[in-house]
Parts: sequence; C-alpha cells; structure tokens
Amino acid sequence: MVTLASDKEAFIAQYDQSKDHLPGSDIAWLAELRAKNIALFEEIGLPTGKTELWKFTNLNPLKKQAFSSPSIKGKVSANSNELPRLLEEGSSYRLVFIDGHYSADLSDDGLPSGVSLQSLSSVITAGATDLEASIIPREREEEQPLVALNTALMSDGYVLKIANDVSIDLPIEILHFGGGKAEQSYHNRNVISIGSGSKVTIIENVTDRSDNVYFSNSATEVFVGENATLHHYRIQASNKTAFLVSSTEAVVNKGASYDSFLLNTGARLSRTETNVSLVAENSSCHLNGAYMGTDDQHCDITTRVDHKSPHTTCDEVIKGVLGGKARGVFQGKIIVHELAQKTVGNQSHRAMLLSERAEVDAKPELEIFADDVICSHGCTSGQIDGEQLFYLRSRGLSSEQAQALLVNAFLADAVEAVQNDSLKDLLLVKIADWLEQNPN
Amino acid sequence: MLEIKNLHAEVDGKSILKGINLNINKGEVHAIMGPNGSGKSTLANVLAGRDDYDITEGSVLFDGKDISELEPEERAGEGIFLAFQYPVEIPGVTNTTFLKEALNAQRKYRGEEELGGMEFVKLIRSKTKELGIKDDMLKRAVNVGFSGGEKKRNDILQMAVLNPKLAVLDETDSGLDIDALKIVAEGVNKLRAENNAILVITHYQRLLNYIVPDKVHVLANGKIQRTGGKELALELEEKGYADYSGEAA
Repeated sequence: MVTLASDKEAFIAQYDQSKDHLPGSDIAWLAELRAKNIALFEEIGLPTGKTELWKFTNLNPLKKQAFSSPSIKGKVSANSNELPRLLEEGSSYRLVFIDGHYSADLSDDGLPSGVSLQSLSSVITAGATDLEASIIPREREEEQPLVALNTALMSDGYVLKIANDVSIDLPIEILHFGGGKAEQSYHNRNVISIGSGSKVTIIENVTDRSDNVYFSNSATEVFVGENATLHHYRIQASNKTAFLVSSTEAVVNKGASYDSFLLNTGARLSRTETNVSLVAENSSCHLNGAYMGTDDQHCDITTRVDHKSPHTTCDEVIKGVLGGKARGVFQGKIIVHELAQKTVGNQSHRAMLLSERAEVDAKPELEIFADDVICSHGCTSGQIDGEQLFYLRSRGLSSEQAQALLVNAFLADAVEAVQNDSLKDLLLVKIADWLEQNPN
Repeated sequence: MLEIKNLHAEVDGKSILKGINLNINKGEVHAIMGPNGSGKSTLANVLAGRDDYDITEGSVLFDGKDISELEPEERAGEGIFLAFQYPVEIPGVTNTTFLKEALNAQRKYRGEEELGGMEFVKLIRSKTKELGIKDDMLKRAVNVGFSGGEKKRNDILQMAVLNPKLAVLDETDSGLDIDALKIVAEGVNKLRAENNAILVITHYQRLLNYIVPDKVHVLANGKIQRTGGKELALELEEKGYADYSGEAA
C-alpha cells in the first residue's frame, strides 16, 4: 500500500493544527463555517475517478506531494522589480499577492471612487462585516469538496466591491505570485461584487518565480448586478510543477453580463471550474478560453451554465493545443431550466493534438427542460492538417514555422473573443512565446 | 536549369513514374500533357517534394544541384514553386502574413537579408498592381472563402512575390471558366522572363492558347512518349490521347 502525502487526513490535520491561528478564529460564525466545511470535506474526501465531475482528472500526482499548512500572515517579501506586470505601469491598477498573501506595499493605490478593494484578511480583521452574505454556501456544495476545503482553510484573498453605475476605464490586474517556498498550499477566497450598471475588467495573472511545487486552491464568488458588465480574464502561466485548482461561482442578474477568458499554459495539473447562474432575464455569459499543454501537463476546464430565466444567453468557445504527453479535459454543461424559454446557448471545444501521446477528453452536456430554446454544442479534436502544412512548406516555411503558424492561427481565433485590445495583443504574444518555447 | 534523368517514382508503393527524361532551360515554357492517371500530378508533387512521393531511381538536378533529398521548403528556397491544382485554405493566417513569412524564409535560406515591413509592403503593392489584384485580398485569410478563380490568382500572386526560377503549374486550369483562365494566364505571362522557366501541366489544350509553350511533351504510363512544339497540343486536342493509352513502349 502506498502512503499518500496529501490525502484527506493530511488536509484535516492541517486544519486541526491551524484552526486557532486562521484569520477570524475569534469570530463565531466564521469559526463555525470553517468547522462545518471541514466536516463536509471529511465526509466527501478528495475527488477520485469515481466522482462523475472528476472522471477525467486524477488527483494522484497532487496526493503524492506533501504540502505544508497554509502559512499564517507573516512577512511578505518580494522585490518589486521582479513582479511581472501584464499591462504597462499606469494602464492598470495592480493588486499583488505573494505566495497567497496580499501585499499592500507592492499594490497600486489610487483606485477610483466607488471601488473598494480589500484583502480578505483585512476584511476579516476588521470584523468580517458583510462577508457572511458573500460566502453563503454554494448550490451543490456536496459536489465541491475542494471549495469546502478552501472555506475551512482560507486565509487571504480579495474582496472587490464596485458601487452602482461606476465604469472603471483601467483594468484591475491581480497578480498571484507563487513559488516562494516549496510545498506550500494557498487557499485564497475572493469576492467580486459589481453594482448595478457598473462596468469593470479584472485580469488575474497566476504566475511564479521558481520551479517550486505549490498547490493553489482558490475559490471566487462573483455577483454581477443588474445591467452590469464584468470582464473577468485569467492567465495561468505558472511553472509546470504547480497544482492550480480554482472554482468560480458567478451569479448574473437582469441585463448583466459575465464575460470570461482563460489562457492556460502552466501547471503540472490545473482544474479551472466556472459555474454561472443566469438568474434573471437578458443576463448573459461568455466563457471563452485557450489552453496549451506539453510534457505531462494536465489541463482541465470545467464549466456549468444554469439558465434559470427566460431570454438568457451563453457563448462558449474553448480551444486547446496539446503536445508531449499532455492531457486536456473539457467538461461543459448547459442546463436550461423549465422557466428559461428563449434561451440561446452555444458551446464549442476544439483541440489540436501535436503528438501521438497527447490526449484530450471532452464531455459536453446539454440538459434542456424548456421547449423554446436554441442550443448547440460541438467538440472536435484532430491533428494539424497535412495539406496545409505542405502548402506552407512548399512556399518556403520550415516545418516548425509552418506548424507554429497554423497552431497560432487556431488559437488566435479563440482570442478574438477578448474585448480589451491591449489584453488581446498580450494574449497573442503569450501564445506566440509558448509556441517558440515548445516547438513540440 | 532543370534536368530530370530516368526518373522513377512511386506513391504508396505503387510505381507511377517510370523513367522520365526532361530538360528545361532558362527562359523556356514547357507543357506536359497527358491522360488522367498518366503521372502528371505525381511529377509536379515529386518536384515540390511532397511526402509519400518517393524517388526510386534516377535524378532531378536543379541548377546542377541534386534536389531529390531536399525538404519542400529547401526546394522553395532553391527557387521551385508549385501552383496547386487545389490551393489550400489556411484559416486565421492573412495573405500578407503568409507572403511575408514565406518570402523572408526563402531569403534567409539563400543568405539574403530579410525584408522589413516597409520594403515588403512596397514590393507587395507593386505586385498586386501589376497583376490587377485588389489590396483587400491581402487582408483576407489565405484562400478562405475565395472562389476557384480567386484561389488560382492568389497562387499567381504568391508566385509574383516569391519570384521563383521555376514555376510548376499543376492543372491550373481545372475548375476555371474561360474568363478566369484568361486572367490567370495573363498573370503567368507577365511573370515570364529570360531568367526563369515555367512548366505547365494540363489535360486540356485550351490553357496553352494563352500560355504559349516552347515545347509540349506527352506523358502517358509514367513516361514521356513524345515531344514536339506548340502544334503538338493542337494535334492532341483533335485526336485525344488514344494513341498513347495502353502499354505504350
């Protein structure tokens, strides 16, 4: 029998050791919430291949790795020069997390009025007012043991609140900079709440400064108020030993829009889960993304959209490119509830396999309980087209150049969905860089 | 410029070319005509270096250099251009990007300096003007949504920009109506020069009304059966390929 370093018991032991030091241990409702969630986690355990939602993603590589207790807020150190910026200084408000901890010193100030951005730890220290309502138990919490673990162990994160009718011109860039110490785990909890009629762009940049193994298990609760728009972009370009699990739960109100894009190139294993509830008329979401994997990387993108009201729309375009022994997983569920007439839901996932040992599993699911809807889904996977390759080579491009051009074109198509032009350019550069570094 | 000696080639283990001899000099236009299945397209693909087209015997010299072991991109760099029977669509790659990458890859191969943005734009503008091609074609993805005629013209534009020593036109007339055929032929004629050569591969004589060859070869059963002047094409148009079918000697 193999002894696993990070099995269920190890995480429970972590909780037992740290519960008295976790932020808010003196706040009754919070301590109770943590206790309840560790009990839930204990009951369900870590997902295995028998768990339907985790059928294609095996957490064994994670279980074999020991992780230390989440460090309690101590000194956060990093040289500000080594911190990457996605957008030029002055063209975004940057919030910095180092190894899971918020750093006020390294973050930009001067946020416009109507915007409140605080770290979770400071919100808790200040008494955790309003927080309880923001981290109400999710629907189907029994299906989300890692979110339960997050709730039990969360020690930092961000709470972003935008008042009504505020449009922020510059994006908010959130840097999650990990890898400072080996074998650490971070359980960040974030809350994003956008007031009615407001408009904001958030770009999360998940990256690191070393090849250290770490485990980031984050959870984010999103509320998009009436007629508000949230562009929520996420770039996961961590090292290839990291474990990145994130779960975003978004509730989108009347006339509002949740627009997301994920670019994933990093991690030994990543699982990026997004659940969207379109709860009122004319709410919509875009769940787009592109992923690239090589070596033994595993990239799982799982989405669920609940159409709970009439006239709601969702669009989902995900593209992936896999080389080496990399594995991609796409699970996309669209549920059209009985009330949700006139729903439009379109989903597409296309994967390109660059090597014989790369693999992709796709599970699109449509569950439709209304009778007047337009829904489509399509999943394809295939290799680079030999005719296209020969055509390009016959004009002088090397085989590698031709392949890079074709893969780039394939992925660039997914990036078209991004509305922020400077970010779009940046994503294209990241894709081109990846192709240069990973000729496969 | 091109010397093909006793060329034998097979595709998927099947012998298609069975001893081709052909010499093309600078400034010449040659036509290869023949019935379906005679090996015409195989010859074009063997010259361009397509995978799975294996030379089993003989040699292909280009400017005195044996090219039979070269990769397709190396042959392109040497100055061989294949105009495809069915030009391929490349979604997401604009004509401009494609042309620039191709031209600079070839220049790099030849040890020439790569062209910068402005120089390239200047070159491409002069070529589109010369061929009467609208600039908006440059912004479109390579051949995507192009009509049959547009695809062929796009190949001719590539040829004009890349300026090969030898252009091989593989059934360029297929799928073209007479107007499109004339436009494409006009484009090819504009590119005729003392320093380059053209090999036209076709089933029908009509293309040769517009691109007038210096020599016409009849290819059947994997061998050149007869060589003559442009009048040979007219004779074939009249009599068909009946004389060359069967196991001709």
